[in-house]
Amino acid sequence: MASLLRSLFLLLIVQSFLVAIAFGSNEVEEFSEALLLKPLPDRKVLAHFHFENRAPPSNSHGRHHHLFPKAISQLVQKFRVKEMELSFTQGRWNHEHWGGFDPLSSMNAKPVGVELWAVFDVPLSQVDTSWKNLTHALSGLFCASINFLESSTSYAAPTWGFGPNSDKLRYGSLPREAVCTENLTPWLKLLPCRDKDGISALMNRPSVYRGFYHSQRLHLSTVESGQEGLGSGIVLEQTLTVVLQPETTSVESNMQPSWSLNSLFGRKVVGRCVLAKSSNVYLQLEGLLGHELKNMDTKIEAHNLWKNADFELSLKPDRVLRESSSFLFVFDIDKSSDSEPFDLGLTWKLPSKWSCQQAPLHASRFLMGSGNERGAIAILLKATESQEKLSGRDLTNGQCTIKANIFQIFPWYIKVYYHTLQIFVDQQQKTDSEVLKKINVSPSTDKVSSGMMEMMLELPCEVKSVAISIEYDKGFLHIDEYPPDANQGFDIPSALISFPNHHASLDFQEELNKSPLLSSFKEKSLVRSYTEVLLVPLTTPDFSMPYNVITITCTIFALYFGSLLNVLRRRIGEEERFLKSQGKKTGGLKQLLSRITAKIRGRPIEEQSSSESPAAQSSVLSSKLIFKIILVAGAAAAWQYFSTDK
Amino acid sequence: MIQLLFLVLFVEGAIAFLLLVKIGPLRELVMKSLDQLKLGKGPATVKTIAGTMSVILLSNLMNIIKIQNKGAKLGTMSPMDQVLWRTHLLEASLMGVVLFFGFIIDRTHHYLEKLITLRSNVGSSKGELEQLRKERTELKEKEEKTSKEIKQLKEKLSCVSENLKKAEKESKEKETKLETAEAHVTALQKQSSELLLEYDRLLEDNQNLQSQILIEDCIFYIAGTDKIDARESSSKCCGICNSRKTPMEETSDRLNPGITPEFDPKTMRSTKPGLKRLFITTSVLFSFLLGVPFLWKSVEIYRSPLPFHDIDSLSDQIKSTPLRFPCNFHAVFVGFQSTDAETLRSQIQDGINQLTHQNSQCGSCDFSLSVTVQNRDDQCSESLAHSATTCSYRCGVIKRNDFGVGVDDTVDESLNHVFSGCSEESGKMYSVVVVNKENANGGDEVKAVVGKRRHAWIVGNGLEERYGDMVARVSEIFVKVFMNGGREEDSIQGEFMPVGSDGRIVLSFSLLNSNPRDWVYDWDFQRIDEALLAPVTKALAPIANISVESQVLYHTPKSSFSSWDKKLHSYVFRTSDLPFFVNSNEWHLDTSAGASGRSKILQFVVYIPSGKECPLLLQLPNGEISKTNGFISPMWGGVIVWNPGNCDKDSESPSRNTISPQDLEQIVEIFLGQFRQLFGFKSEAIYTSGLGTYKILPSERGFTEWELDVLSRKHTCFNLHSCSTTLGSLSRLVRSLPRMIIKDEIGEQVKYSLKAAKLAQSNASLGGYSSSASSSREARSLAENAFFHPSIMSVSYFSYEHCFAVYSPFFLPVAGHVVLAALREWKRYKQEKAKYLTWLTRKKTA
Repeated sequence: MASLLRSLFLLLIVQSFLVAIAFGSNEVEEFSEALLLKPLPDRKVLAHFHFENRAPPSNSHGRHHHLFPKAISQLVQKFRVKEMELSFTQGRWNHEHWGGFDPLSSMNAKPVGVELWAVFDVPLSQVDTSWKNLTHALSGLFCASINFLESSTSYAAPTWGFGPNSDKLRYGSLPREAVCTENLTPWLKLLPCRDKDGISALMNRPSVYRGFYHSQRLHLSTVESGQEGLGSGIVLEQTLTVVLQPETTSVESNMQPSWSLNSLFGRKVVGRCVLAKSSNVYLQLEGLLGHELKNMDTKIEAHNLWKNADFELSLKPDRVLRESSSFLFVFDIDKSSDSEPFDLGLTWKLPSKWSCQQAPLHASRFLMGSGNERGAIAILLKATESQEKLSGRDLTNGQCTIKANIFQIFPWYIKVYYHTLQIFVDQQQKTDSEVLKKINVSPSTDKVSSGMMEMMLELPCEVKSVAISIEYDKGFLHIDEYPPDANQGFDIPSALISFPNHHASLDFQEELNKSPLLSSFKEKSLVRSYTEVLLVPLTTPDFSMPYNVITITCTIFALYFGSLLNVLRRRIGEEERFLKSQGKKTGGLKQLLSRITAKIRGRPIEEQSSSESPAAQSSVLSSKLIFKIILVAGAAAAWQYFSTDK
Repeated sequence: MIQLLFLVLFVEGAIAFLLLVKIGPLRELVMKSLDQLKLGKGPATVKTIAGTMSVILLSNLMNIIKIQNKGAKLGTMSPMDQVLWRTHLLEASLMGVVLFFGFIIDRTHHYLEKLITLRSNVGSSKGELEQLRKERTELKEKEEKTSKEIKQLKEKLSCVSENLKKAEKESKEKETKLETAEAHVTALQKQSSELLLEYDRLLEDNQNLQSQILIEDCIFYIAGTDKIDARESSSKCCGICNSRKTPMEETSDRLNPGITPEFDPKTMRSTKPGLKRLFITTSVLFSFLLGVPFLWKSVEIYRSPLPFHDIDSLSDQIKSTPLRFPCNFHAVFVGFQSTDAETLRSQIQDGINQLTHQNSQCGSCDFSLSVTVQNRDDQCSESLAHSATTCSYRCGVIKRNDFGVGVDDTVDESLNHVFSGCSEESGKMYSVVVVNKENANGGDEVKAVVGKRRHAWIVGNGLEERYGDMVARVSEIFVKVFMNGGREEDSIQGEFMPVGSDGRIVLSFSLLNSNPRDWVYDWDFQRIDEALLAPVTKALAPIANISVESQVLYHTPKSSFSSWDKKLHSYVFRTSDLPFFVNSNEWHLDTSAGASGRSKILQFVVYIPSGKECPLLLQLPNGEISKTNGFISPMWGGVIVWNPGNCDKDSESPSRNTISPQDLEQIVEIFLGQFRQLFGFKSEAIYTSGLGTYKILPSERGFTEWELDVLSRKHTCFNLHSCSTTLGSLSRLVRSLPRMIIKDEIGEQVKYSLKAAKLAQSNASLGGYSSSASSSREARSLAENAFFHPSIMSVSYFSYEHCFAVYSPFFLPVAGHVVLAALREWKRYKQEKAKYLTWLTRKKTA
């Protein structure tokens, strides 16, 4: 009885303890999932998957986890990562049609290949080692060759041009990395439901990789708890952005294609991930209806909005939110089940057209010059139409200006001459002091570090185009340093153009339900765009060259040595006499041969005029001849042997 | 090859064509060039080429025959052989035609040349004929002229005869004058003949003197030729001499009879041979030889010297003499009246030896036994081991009544108190207390208990009568329990020690919700970790550095199937399904490799079945249901299937539950059992042998002290063994690749590893269990670090083949030249010196 009581008591204590843990300070790991769908003006559809996993501040990070991926937490603990972003991208973001001035594009339009940046929480001297270890760990985790970022020639430490201002920031990108399903699978492994359940079940590999653009991103940041003796919390944000082309059946060319989730992905959502705190699907419609419905009472009309003259949704949205220029339909997928899957569809009834908000300047980059010796890189910034509408102007000294940061990494074999930097504004060359507000250059060191250029331009608002050109020499690589298939050329990573005075944000005035996706949209994000990757052909040697050089020079040296030595030890007079006396002598074999040849020629045998002592000299000569013949025969036999038995 | 042959063939054809057909001056050109070719070394070259080609032709023909023979043997030719056959045939025919063409060209050229000479001869003879004709006509003309002249001359002759008559008259007058003059002339002739005789004699004298002077000159000339070649000058000179000798033979012989012995220029020389060229060639050779060490040094790669000898001796030592630890066994017999301690001791010793079979397994005990017999009056007789331990049992401390009703734990504590005074310098002390209790009502029951520490006791009635049995049991406790840890010999070998090479174990606990749509279970593992696992990890600290981590995974179905059992009202999976239970595709148990390094990860999985197969039970081969509902996989970990209490799922929404602390404790208990099994211990608290059963008191730390002792012994052994094999394979690798770069770090690591291994061995012989375990761990991890050093892993080392390929194109030809030149000069010098010496001896004898 006593023991029973005791155990009961213990149970009570333990339970109260548990309750305290569970509800005391709201310290549980949270996971939420969301999908944003957005028809694009060029008849494509953007799907943006957003997963957020939060681990509260705790001391047991890396050791005990419930929802948060243990591997990521261990990485954060081991390498003291403060903030990190890793993206795998294939395809190029179309800034003109897919938007350049909204949070979605500024955060998810990434350069081709792999991009990784990380801020560490270690002393400055250990940042580089942490970075190297992190790249190796990530390359193992994501089945990618991120470890190529380990070498100091492939990463840089941006100071202010990249975004977060920190001296413990490292940035690197691999433009040539091919991104495919082997990178997506480990990325999905970090989600509690993987692609078994919930929104992520839509990720049908063939349809995802058939798209025009896909970018999977992993962003993690630590949140300081502020409490003494308590570790920091981790927020892991995983997004997958896909641009897909819906299959059209309508003949009309100006009609937007109708689609449904099933037609886009080949799958349907059959239920939410039970572990997610919230799982929503959003449909964002931009611009087009704004002017039509402006004067209507949104409260009433919002509910009827999903079925109107222009388009029709297959499901009734749970809520409708509106921003200045776009509508957001919110769907909860709680209600869906196996029998009644969630399959959102959009059917257009009338042709419609709209445009996206654009960044103030559209950037492109190209190479100039020809040949394998030198060239020039040019970055062209062109004003977009929407520039006038933008609010991010900086009215200093009564002048309207646009600020643009350019951040560019040059591999060391692109030897950039920074003094050749030329800036043309509206086809007129400007001196540096006129437009260049700030510049930071770290030159490259051969085979040690890559070069980096950060510059801040201050341009007048009415600028039409800006061209920046810089000349470079192509360096020579050591023969070991060439990658396989060196003739393909070498990639120069994308340059990043960001506009520090322009911030994109979408505020849907939604206080009811704090969705992580919407709150991330709400945050002001820097408008940025990446340029194209450049392919620079370098001189590639014949890789057997060293051996050819060695053999040729060695042969020449050997010839030189041999002849020198011969000259040194030669007795010319003696040899001449010897030859003279030799000329008279003929061997027995030679005699025989001459007889034979004479017979062949039909000539009488020439009498040996000087046959004083043929027997004495014949042996020497005949043996020499035999030796010669044997040598020739041996060489021929060897040649034959090696030429046939290969 | 074939293209080249075709080219040659075409060239030859063109030449032959040009030779046969006259096209402008081309034939002359070809003839001229062929003449040029036949001059000097041309024929030799052409003959060499032709010889080579004929040899190749012969070999081709041989090949053709070979292939044909092969085909004939097999019946059919393989397509490959056919192709080869055709190629050879083509080559052979081409070469034959080339050779034939060459021969044809040679002949044509020869005959053309002859033709040309003949033609030119014909032309010249024609000219001569014409000339002769011309001459004839000329001669005829001359005849006519001369006949005319004859007539004229006849007329003149008549005139001349008239004149002659006149002259006769005059001559008669003059004859008379002449007779007088003749008389004067005869007188003068006599005088002149006398003078001539005198002159002849003088001339002869003069000639004699001249020849004498010439021979003397000749000798001086021969002696004076030093720089100019001796042979030539001497032959020249001697030619002169010989030519002069014939007329002057007798004079020269008479003048110098022995100064010039027979000088043969082929076998002799009169001057010392020169040393200049020999010096030059040998100095070049020596400078080359001197350069070889420098070259060797410059292409040398850095290899840290590894102590190969020490490594070999370590592995030999470990193989030949297994490591043994000193253990002190102490048996106390309480309540035994008429038993002699000495005989008991020898009997127990025999029993122990019998059980160990004298096999000195690594990690076994090097025991020393002491026996104390305490009679009922608390008087003792002792038989101590030779190496007497510092602690001895104080007589009478153990009271028989203590072993009565008391709980085993308290007995264990009291025994510990009794033997607490022992110093543990020379090994651990294990004791067995046999208490003969004379209880009237007690039956034959004998109770044998092994405590948590290093003590065991046997309590029973009338033990003195069955004292042979007691001896056997005591020795069994010593050997089977204390020495071997109560594990079967064959169960799990010592090699499967689940400890990572860096001496760390990561216990990764995963809670798998196979289908979270049915229910979601969570656990509060952190508390369990702190409360229940921390003592275990602390206890195992000398053996391994253990870290614990946990995670919860979802959507993780097992990959084997289960079947519904009606009797049990549950789903059942059998032991035959176990290999397929773990679903490595869906169970992402992995921890970050970057964080765990080379440590051993033991996975412990708690599997919660889905609602479809809710009570999931493991059926043993004998049809029973497993109590633990779990299984282990050696070196991987263990799986526990945990069924939620209520298998009815509420279809509404998945319930989120937390596993209750009681259930969690149960799970941890099962896990501890599995953990013990992974280390090779039994999970039950009873050890059964042929002689009876022993109760083993379980420790709250998972492992009792004597078990930990066994573990550290085995672990030390295993570590040292693995260290020696790793170092041995490293040394073999390093020795087999002589051009592999070995960094200093590797050398240091090997050195420290050997040092640690030595330390572990010495500690083990001294009985320091935990210190030897930790130093052996260090030795192993250092050895592994050295073996898996990144610089060793890289394949790009500078091989000998590479070195040879780079340097031989230069050194082989140059060395050939230099060595041959030096040899030739040396040979020549020897030859010339011999010549000189023969000359000298000849001179001396002469």
